Amino acid sequence: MKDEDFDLLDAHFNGLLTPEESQALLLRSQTDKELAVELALREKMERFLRSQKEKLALSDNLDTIGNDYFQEETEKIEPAMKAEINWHRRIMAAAAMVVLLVAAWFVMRPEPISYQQFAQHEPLHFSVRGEADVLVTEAEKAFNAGDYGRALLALDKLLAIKPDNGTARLYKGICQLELHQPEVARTTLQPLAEGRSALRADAMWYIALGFLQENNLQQCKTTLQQLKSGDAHFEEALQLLKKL
Amino acid sequence: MHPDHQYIEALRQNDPRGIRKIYDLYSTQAIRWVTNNNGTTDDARDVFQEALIVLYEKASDPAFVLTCPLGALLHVIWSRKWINRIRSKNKESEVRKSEGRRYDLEVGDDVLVVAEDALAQTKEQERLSRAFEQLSELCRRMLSMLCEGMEAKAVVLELELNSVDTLYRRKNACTQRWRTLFLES
Repeated sequence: MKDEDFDLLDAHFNGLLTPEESQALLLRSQTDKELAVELALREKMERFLRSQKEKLALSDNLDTIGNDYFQEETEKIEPAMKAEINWHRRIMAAAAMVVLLVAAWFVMRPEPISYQQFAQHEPLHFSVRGEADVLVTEAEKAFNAGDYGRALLALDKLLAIKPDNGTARLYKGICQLELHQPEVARTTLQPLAEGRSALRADAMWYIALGFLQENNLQQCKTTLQQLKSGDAHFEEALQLLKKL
Repeated sequence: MHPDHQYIEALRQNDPRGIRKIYDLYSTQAIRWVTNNNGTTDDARDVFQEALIVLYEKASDPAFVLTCPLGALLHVIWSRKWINRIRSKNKESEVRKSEGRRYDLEVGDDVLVVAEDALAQTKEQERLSRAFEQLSELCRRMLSMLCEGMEAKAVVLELELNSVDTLYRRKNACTQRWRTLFLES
C-alpha cells in the first residue's frame, strides 16, 4: 500500500476528510484488497480503544451479578486456637471450649444443599416420532443444548398437538424449573405424579426439586418420601433426604 | 436473527436486568458442567464471566447479529475456556476427560462457527492489548483521550503539546507504532 493511502487513512480516522472524501475512500476499499485489510485493522484498533472503558464497566457489573449466582458451598472452618498456660487458664479453657464448639458446629452442621446439586437431567430423546417430527427435533436439540426457553416453546407446541405425551410434559416441567418457575412446573408435573404412568416417579422427583428450589425443605422431604425402592431417582432421593 | 439476540443487546448496553436474565438461564448449567469436570463453583464463575466478555467483544462489531441459541454458544465458549485452563496446568488426563464430554450435548455447526469466531476475535483483542501496553505512556494517553471523544484542543492542553497539528502528527506516529507491534506479535 502507498504511503499516501496510510495518510489518507490517518486523516479519515482523525475526522479530517470531508464526507465525500471519506465516502470515496470506503468505496475504493471495496475493490482495493490491501486498502480493505488496512481499513478493517484500523477500525478494530479504534473499536478496541472505544470499548476499554465500557468493558471495565461490564466486568464490574458481571462481578457484582456473579456474586448472587456463584456461591461456594463449603464454609471455611475457624482455625483452632492455641491455649496459653497462665493465670487466666480457666477462662482461656472455657474460651477454647467455646471455639471448639463453634468449630464443631461448622463441621457437623449439614452442608447447604441446592437445586443445582441434584438437577442432573437425562438428555431428552423421544422414542416415538411422527406428525410433529420437526417440533420433536427442535425440542430435543434445544433441551440438550441447555436452551430451556426455546425447548419450552417447542414442547408447548408439541403438547398442543399431543396433550397426552408424558415425555413432553415431564421435560416441559424440567424446563420450567430451569427457568426458575417451580410453582408453574408443579402444575405441569402434578398430573404425571398422580397418574400411573411410567414417568410418575420422575415427575415426583422434579416436584421435590421444585420445593428445594423454593427452599421449602419440609415439602421437599414429604414428596421424596413417597418414592419407593426401585423407583426412578430413588437413590438420589435417599441422598437428598440424608442432607435435608 | 435468533430471539436470544436480545441478550447480546443487554451485553452491549451493560443492562443489569438483561444480564441477570442470562445468569438466571445459564449459570446453573455452567456450575454443573465445570464441577462435573473437576472444577469448583469459583472456576465456573470465572469461565462463565470470561465467556460473556468474549461475546461482548464479538458484539462490539456493530454488524454482529446472533443467529444461534445463546445457551449452546455460551456452553461451547466456557467449556473451551475451562479446557484451556486445565491444559495450562498440565493436567492432560483431565483435559482428555473434559474434551470427551465437550460435545455431550448436540451443538449445531452454526454454533461452533460463531464460537470459534468469537474466541479468535478475543485472541486478536488480547494481541492488540499487549501491543498497546508496549506504547509509551504519552501515546497511550493520547490515543485513549482522542478515542473517548475529547476535543483535540483539550488534549493539546492536557498533554502540553504545541498545537493540534503536532497532536495529529504524534497520534499518527503512535498508531503506526501500535500497528507494527500488533502485526509483529
